[in-house]
Amino acid sequence: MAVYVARDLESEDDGDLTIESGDLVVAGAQQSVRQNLMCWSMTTRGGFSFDPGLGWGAEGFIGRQNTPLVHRLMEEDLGYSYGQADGLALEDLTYSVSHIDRDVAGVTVRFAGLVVEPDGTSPSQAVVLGFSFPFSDGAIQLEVSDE
Amino acid sequence: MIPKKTTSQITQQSLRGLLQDTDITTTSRGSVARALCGSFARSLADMYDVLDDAVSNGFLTTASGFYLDLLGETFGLTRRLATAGRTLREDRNIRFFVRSGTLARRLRHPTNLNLGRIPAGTTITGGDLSYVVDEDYDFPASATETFVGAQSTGRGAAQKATAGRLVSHSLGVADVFVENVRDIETASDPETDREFRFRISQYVTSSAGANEAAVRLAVLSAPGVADMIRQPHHAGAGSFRVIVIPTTNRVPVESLARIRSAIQGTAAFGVFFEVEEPRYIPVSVSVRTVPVRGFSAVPPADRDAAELAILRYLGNIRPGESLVINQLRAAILNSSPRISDLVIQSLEINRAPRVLVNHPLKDDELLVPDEAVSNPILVI
Repeated sequence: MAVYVARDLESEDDGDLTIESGDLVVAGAQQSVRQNLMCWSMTTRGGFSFDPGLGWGAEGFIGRQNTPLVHRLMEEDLGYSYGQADGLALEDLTYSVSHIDRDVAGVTVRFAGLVVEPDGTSPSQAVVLGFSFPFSDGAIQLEVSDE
Repeated sequence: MIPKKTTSQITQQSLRGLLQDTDITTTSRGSVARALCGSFARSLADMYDVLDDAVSNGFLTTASGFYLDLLGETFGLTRRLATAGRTLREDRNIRFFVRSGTLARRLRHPTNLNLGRIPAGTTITGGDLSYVVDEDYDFPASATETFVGAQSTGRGAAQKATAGRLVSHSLGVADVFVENVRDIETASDPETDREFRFRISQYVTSSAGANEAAVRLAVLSAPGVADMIRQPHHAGAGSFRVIVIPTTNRVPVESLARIRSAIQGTAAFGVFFEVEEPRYIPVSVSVRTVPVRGFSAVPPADRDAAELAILRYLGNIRPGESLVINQLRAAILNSSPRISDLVIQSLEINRAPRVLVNHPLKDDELLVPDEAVSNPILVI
């Protein structure tokens, strides 16, 4: 298990930067991990021109069947992507894809690394990221919660 | 010059600054800090590209293409366009000849029985090159050869014709032959950036006029000119002489006229000047070739190639250099695989027989095939 102390600029779940008293906010270690995980999960590979390798191959699954076989392929793709994320250790992540509606798959990613905040404390809650993936258009809907 | 920075360089520099000066401690892929820096860096790198173009095209030493043209225009200079290959009758280059009888018997003058005529518009070709005779050229009825002026149908350096390249004509008379005795060098491509840049750089000095740079620029601007030798005060104070060094055996007559006119526009009032060709040293050489095994004699085409090789070698000896016998032998041997050996039977320089040793030229001397001899370069 890796230890996470790095801090990033803080952003909202929709990606907007957080501003307080007219200044950008530096996020805590846990929030930084969550943002990083969201960035890799919500970005379609090739969609961010500055770093085309960022994200996972969501676009390749649009129009596919909502079947267990496709779910396994999605998990493989997600695993490959998270393996590229130099701010996350793959062994600290568990992820699964399952059927949640006729044409929609649900993706759950759970982060269980050791986070140490600047004040030396470690949050007790793990980061869990959930999102739905409609095969018709690939418009990912995000749900984030801490367990 | 401004050192150019790439997107990656700017990103790394920005991220290093963030790590050093703020509480931000991650710049990994997927981090907000890296995404922001990367976006800014790319715009900034684009600006560096624009800046680099603007700066390099703003200076004469680095400007190119259209921007160099603009710089030239500020001095009233425009880039020279491609020129056609051209040779005048006075150049004694394109030669029509017969091997027996007279030329006028085959090419009669339409009204004068004492003359023959090569009409304007006659086409002279060789490979993909095509030259057109530029006016009617009359010659005496007794002549066995005559020279004409002609111009290439196309423009650009590809129109240059090496000696012996032009071999056929459109006159429809089989036993009248044609050849270009020397290279035709006057064709040129459009002025390159490098050439135009040099001309602009000389302009500031030469625009003052009446100085060496102005004279040099005037001389070198003419086609077929490789260099010049300057001799100040050759006829006393307020005089100078320019000796024009051609790129081939001879300075084209057209170029001499152009040079005189150009210097006239730059030399100071009252200054006396002369433009001269180098001292042409006539040379004639006779070579006996030995064929390779299996041939009783070297075929005529290979002997022609050997003659051409000798002409080329002589044409490439610049003033001040030497005629090197071994180089002459090598040029002949390399001209054909069917020549195994050769004997230089005679070598005449300045119409005097010479022993076969290297012959150095003075700084204003140039070797040319002896025009007083019917066949100055003879390979048998």
